[in-house]
Amino acid sequence: MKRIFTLGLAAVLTLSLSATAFAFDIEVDPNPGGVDVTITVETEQHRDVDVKFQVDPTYTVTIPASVTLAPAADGRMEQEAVVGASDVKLGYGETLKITIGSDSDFNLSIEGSSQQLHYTVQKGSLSSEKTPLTDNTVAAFGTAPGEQTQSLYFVTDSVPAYAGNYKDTVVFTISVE
Amino acid sequence: MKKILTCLAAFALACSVPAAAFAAPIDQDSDPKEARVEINTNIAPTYTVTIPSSVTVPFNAASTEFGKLGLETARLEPGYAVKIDLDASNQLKNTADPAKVIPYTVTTASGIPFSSAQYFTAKSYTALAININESAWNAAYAGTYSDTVTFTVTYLHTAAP
Repeated sequence: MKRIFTLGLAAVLTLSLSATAFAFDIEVDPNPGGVDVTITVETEQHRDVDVKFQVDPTYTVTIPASVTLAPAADGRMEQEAVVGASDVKLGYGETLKITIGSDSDFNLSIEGSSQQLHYTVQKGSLSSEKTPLTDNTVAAFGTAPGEQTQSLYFVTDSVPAYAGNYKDTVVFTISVE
Repeated sequence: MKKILTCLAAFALACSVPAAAFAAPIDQDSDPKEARVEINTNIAPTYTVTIPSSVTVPFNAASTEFGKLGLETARLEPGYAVKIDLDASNQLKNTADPAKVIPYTVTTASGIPFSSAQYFTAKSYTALAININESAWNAAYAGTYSDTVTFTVTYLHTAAP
């Protein structure tokens, strides 16, 4: 009996090392003259495992370094530029949005002068049909391999009355929405 | 050799195509996620000046229209003007004897002596007149008189407008 008890304890000790994997009950019979040990072991037949991973959005956006307007046939100044995004990988339903802003409210000016020349930015190229911007959004790209591009058309509202070096700075802002 | 030449020509052609310049690319790790881009255009000054043509002064005429002087078309830089200077001897010289002269003056149509004017915008003119007073006509010898005047055009910076 003593031997059985020893074996029982050894078994209990061994099983306790993997207590996380098994559930068991020990019942000790308090009857005199012997110790009966009943060991019940319940092994788990299945486990639920959560598998999780996160894919962060990735993209590369290219913006022109500068845009130089040239005379159009009607005397206004115009030019096209291209913004692009490559290897765009976003969350489901998300869009890579590029907006444009100007501290001067899209006015070219000559340094040292109060003369201003207003211009607009539209979607389209020199030769294609132009579309006005909505909320200053110049492009909205979705998840796609390779490169996506959007042509932008810059044009002054009027023929410049004055000669000189006109300049302005626009800011392209990229966001995922 | 022909193949090498073809390759070299193709390479030269590729090099001659201007590449679009882009600002530094922006990716998911960029901060801030924005790019500042300069928009610019350079417009050279242009203008067309109107100068009076040759004119014949009728005998005994106290004032003869010389024509108009000024800017026909103009796209100038702000603060710049086109200045036209008149250089005249103010003496009509006898073609047979240059020592014999008839004094004259060039004035505006309203009679103000003219030597120069500055113009800032297109369609700006000054009407000029050639004036010979009665005593000068009376003192003149018979004959044909002439003089050549010179108009000098200068593009210059001014304080106005």
